[in-house]
Amino acid sequence: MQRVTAEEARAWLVEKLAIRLGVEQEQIDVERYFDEFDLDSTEALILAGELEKWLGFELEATALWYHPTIAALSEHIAEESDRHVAAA
Amino acid sequence: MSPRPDTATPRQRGVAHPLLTSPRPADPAARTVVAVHPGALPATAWQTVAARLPADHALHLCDLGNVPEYFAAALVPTLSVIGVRELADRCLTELTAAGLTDRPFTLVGWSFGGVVAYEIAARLDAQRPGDRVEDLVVLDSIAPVAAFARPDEDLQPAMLLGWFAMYLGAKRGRRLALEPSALDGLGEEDGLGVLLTEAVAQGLLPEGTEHAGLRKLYGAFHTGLVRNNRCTVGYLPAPLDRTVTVVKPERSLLPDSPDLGWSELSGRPLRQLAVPGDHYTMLRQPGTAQALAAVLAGSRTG
Repeated sequence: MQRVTAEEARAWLVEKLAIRLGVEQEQIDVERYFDEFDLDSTEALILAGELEKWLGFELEATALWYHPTIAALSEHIAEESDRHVAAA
Repeated sequence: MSPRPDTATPRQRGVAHPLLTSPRPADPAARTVVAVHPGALPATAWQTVAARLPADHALHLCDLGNVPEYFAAALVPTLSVIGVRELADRCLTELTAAGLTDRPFTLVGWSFGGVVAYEIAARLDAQRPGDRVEDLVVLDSIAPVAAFARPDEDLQPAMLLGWFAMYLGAKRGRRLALEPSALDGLGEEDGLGVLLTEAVAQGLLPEGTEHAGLRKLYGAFHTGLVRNNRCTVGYLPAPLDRTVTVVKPERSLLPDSPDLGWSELSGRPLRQLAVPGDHYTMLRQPGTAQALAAVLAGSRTG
């Protein structure tokens, strides 16, 4: 399992969200709440599944509740990635 | 831009959503229709029906998705669930507090909401038979009878994948068309592969959507279904001395069951209405919504 940094997680989320929303990556505000993007719950869950596949581990169901922006979630992902790599 | 959140605390999302919502402004003279919504899809699905009710009718919604324990159990499968009786209790408490049980009303439940509506009717009938709930209407609800009480492991993938295809169509705003035998004999993974190919080809999902993404969505859908199954464990009520009206769409959850099991619970002859559409879109289709509004407004004379 590869260690994922916060910068890498942020880049992945920005790229995927930009594609889903049909906008340029520069238009994605990493401090914006996820539920303020024009992303319905179906798209959000599909994106979460793709993210977990890329990471190689599942995020807890409450991750988006406690870390509701790209910036905050990326930091959390990096911490979780460290934990998973250390435990592997 | 939104303010930067404090990542040490969850985002504040305001007050909890109420279980019961009523039309504003309230018209005290309006005839009352109470609908029990099962969550899973937004309660706004009822708007099409509400708009077609006669002007002297008011639709009040009990949204089970706003019961915290019920909602949470659809996200985390290991959480304990709240049972049908407790859900009915919660609804009745709200309905009583709002004064809606002071006068006769029509009670309708969609999908699992129909099971909770039945228990609400049973409790009110126990106090004064037939006095408060004038009509009980269930919309493609599977009756809580022994014939349909299945352990989770008996829920067949082909059946659940077919339901998921309808659900995906409802969420994406267009039907996912499948050959009748498209999912026959397939397990979850192969079936999801078929659904992903078709959903992308038919424009429901964008090119590049990964299997892992659809798998995650299916997982959430499946956990919600299992949650409803867990809520009904041990709930096998006695029949009521009343007529139950069963509305069944063309693409029902159980197309091979003519009455969805309600004949066992309806002490008087069942009333049945067949409508177009599928389980998840039946409230939104204008023609079906018109027929439902007519049933809800006029069923007491039917």
